[in-house]
Amino acid sequence: MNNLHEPESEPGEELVQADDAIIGRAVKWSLLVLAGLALAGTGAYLALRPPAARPVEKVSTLATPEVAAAPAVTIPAVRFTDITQACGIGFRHISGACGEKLLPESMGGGVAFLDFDGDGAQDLLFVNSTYWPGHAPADRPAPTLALYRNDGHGAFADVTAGSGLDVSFYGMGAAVGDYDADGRTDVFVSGVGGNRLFHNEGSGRFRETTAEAGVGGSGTDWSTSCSWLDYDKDGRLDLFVCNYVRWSREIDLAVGAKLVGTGRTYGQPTHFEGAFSLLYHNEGGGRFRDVSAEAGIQVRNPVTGVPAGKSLGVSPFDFDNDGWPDLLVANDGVQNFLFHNRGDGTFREIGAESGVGFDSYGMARGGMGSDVARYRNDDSVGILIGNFATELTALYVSQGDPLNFADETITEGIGPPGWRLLKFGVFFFDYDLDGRLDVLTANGHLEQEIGKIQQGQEYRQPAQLFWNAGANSGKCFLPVDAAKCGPDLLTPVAGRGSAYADIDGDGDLDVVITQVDGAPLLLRNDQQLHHRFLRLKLVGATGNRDAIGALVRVRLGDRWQSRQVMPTHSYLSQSEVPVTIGLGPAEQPDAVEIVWPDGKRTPLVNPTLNRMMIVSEPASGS
Amino acid sequence: MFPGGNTGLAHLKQDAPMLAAAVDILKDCARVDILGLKDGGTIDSPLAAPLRPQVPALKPGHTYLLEIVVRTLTLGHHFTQGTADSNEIWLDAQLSSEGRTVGRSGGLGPHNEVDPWAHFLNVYMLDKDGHRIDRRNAQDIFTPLYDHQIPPGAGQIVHYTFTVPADQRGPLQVDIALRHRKFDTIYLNYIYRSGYKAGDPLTVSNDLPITTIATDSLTFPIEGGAAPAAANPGSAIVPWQRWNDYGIGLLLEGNKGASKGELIQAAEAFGRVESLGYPDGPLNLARVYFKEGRLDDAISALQRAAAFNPPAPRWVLAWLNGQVAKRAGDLDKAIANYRSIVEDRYPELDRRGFDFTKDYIVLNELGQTLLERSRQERAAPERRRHYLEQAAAQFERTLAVDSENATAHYNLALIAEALGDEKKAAEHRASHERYRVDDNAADRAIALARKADKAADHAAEAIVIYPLQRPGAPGLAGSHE
Repeated sequence: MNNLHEPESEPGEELVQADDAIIGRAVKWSLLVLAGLALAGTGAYLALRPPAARPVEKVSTLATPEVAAAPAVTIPAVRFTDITQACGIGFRHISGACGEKLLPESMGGGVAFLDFDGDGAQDLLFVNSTYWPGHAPADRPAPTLALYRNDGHGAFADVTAGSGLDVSFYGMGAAVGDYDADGRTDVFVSGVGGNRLFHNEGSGRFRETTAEAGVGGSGTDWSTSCSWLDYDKDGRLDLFVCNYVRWSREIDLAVGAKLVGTGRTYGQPTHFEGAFSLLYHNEGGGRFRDVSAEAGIQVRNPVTGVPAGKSLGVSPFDFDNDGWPDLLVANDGVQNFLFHNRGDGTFREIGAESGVGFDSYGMARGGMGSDVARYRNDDSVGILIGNFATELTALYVSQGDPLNFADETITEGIGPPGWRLLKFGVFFFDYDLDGRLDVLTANGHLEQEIGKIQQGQEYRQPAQLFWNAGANSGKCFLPVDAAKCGPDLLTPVAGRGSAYADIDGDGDLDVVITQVDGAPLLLRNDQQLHHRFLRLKLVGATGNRDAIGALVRVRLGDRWQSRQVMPTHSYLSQSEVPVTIGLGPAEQPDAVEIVWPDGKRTPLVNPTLNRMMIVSEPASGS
Repeated sequence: MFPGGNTGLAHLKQDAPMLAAAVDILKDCARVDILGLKDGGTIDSPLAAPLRPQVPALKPGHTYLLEIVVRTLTLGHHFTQGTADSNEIWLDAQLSSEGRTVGRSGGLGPHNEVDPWAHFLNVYMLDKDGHRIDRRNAQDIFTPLYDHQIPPGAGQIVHYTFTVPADQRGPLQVDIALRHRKFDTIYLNYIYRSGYKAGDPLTVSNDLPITTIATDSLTFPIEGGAAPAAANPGSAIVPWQRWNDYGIGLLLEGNKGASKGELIQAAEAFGRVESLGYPDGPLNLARVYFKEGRLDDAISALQRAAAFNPPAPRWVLAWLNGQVAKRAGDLDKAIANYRSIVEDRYPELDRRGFDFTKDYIVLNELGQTLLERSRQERAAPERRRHYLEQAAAQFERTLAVDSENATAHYNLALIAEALGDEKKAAEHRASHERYRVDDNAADRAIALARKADKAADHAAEAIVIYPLQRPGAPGLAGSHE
């Protein structure tokens, strides 16, 4: 505070001092006023500013899922009838299970339709396993393969005895093909601990030629699905054999696998090392050369270098229409493989980059059986793979680019209805002859005790039939219930292999489903929809006498149906070689074209309908 | 210093306050419940539960399963995470009759090593040759043999089997303790004995402190025998939680192939929760049915959960709605439910401190469902593109949180391919290939490990029944404690 009563001074000084005092006072008051204004201003701002922004509240209505309504589409009524016993099939698969729970016991066996005697009727070969060493019951004959001859009308006679196929070994799958072009279908049977090749000598006799052919494998392989195909288009059928895991009884027993905390159960494939599959080149003269390494089908884990594959299914198909057959291989617990044929005797594995390797989360699934077909009757290709319980069946569909796929199983309606089941054998087939390929899956669990810990999961499971509704948007495949296909098809079984053929000569496709450690189901298709059909048996001019790999293309209106001549479908199994194309209610097809394995195209003018027609490949130059 | 539960370091430093702090974190971070008893000794034997205050009388000569539930309480992460390979956490189970030990699992051997046949709650980690990671050699970690960690707020089921002696008259007392020790005895032998290698006999004793995290105890009368001195007090845990924790333990017991857990048993437990009036009942039943593949039953359970009073937590309901709707093929419904988790905001989320905008599990599901949805628009390219771009946006958000997320990279590769961007597709494919699980990792390592260590082989299955009367078990002959 300024002291105004200053000691006496000169008048000029006094004025200066007085001015100083006044200025000081003014500054003081100014500062106070400014401070006051500032305080007031701040206070006003704080009082009047908008409140801090709170996040906008948003509460959606939660929509609870509902059970799907039945589709508006009417599924045609057919009936499949179980004629297994009635037609003379007494076969029973023997897994050799005797308490040790060895993994192979849970995985077999396959079935093949083949015309071994060339009479035009589809005969049956069942693949059997056998008892483990030291456990064969003394009072029973050793289990063997079983061959049944079809009389043309769906009655079968057991002609195994003396056929040369009455041999006992741990069989898994089969591949049928005329490897030496002598006009008779030969049989290759894969197994655990050695594969076997049987040459068809005629008159119902087969001779084992494994050693001279060189296709027995290492002797310790576990081989599964297999297929004949001419991969290098030299006119001779080559052989691809899937190998599953590196297995022996000692390896299996090293892991104390249990399902319910006591006893023992089957081990998981993740506890076994992978294995390279086999590709054999047909050298002619009944001899084969193992070209697996040079052909590029040996896939190694990129980090550890170990064999990566655990292969259970194979589907040869020319995905990119370049005339060279490629190979889709379904693996169990590791990514699926797609071997793209480079046309120079080698393949490039493109499963991951093509989108068929993994599920929608980028993870591997337990793949078993497989099949490939143009089920939309357009350029797109569908790859079907049966997967484990509570994994969706895969339906990879090509997306414009023929080597780029996306899994459309949910959109197309195949996945959700079959999600719960354990799906082994899967194939496309037109059961109602309407010209659209339907789907059958053969199902069955691995664990007999699964019912102790999972409700609604049984060891025996019904097959599942899907009708192709041909929808352009929305679900293409609709599940078919017993009212529309009969109860027999849906009999719960421990299903494994499956195949189709016209066994009674009425044009529609009948089916067989095998059961591990049990009797198969042979089901005759008794549909009465009066649809017309085209049924072709192609005869190749060169070594590939069955024209394996040929395409049959049929146009109805603006739609082309395309079918491959290839018996390999499903799991461990072979379907009939003749191609059946349903025409629905159409009087006749608008065009039919054969694309032979060498690329030659021949039209089929005025084809015979509603019964088998044999089409021979024209000789080159004609 | 981050305290954690590192009693080992505190002991080595002789730091009493640090030790006290570590023990304080460990104590009661989980609880133990002797929940039930199965007469017959198999998992499908009839269940008597919940035990206490009533307990059944045991029959001489009968074999039983004890159902023990361990449940985490205070952690927001898996118990224990961190150095889960070397943390030593186990259940010490004791059966005694008039002060005499007649059953033991988890006792200590001569060098204070834990009974190898005990139930361990950590991870048994392997190198590529199937050897256990037993000396913090994290650089060799390749694949786990088993992972017994417990998710936050979840239960774990442990089964013990025992047979009542035919001449048993006096009551049988069961004591269960959850124990923790920072390092196991093998590791200490590596540390303190030069040249020690796996398989060598132990020579160094483990003197690290053992913390008892939780205990439980009860006494069974014997049929025809003397009554126990005192009745069992009631359990401190409310009944609905006892059933819910048990059910969660059964549900989580297995996740591979056919080993999906004890789902029938879990459904029974969650049915009890529902009848006791808690929405966790139908919500968790929906989880069980979904795991079993029973889609229609899962839908029914969710419909009950949606109408439940008190209401089920919105975010859980929305998640399960989404899962089930997607599996049923109702993609629009699934998308709406997943979106609600990520986009909704309401006061309860703030109260709970939840922020699902970064939940990349949900973001991936939303993205994947949008991608599936795009496939339904084959005939409408513009709409297809719209869904593809929306899908990509979700996966990009995932990568912002977890740049190595294999699922996001895989789906972004598919989307880029569908949109014609080959370069981007190839980049994401390469990332997926780099970050995805090695499906061949278990091929050799697991089998080798299980062959070499039969106790670990036994503990590696989904459903494990631990013996309480294993001949030679430490502590059974009445020696050490």
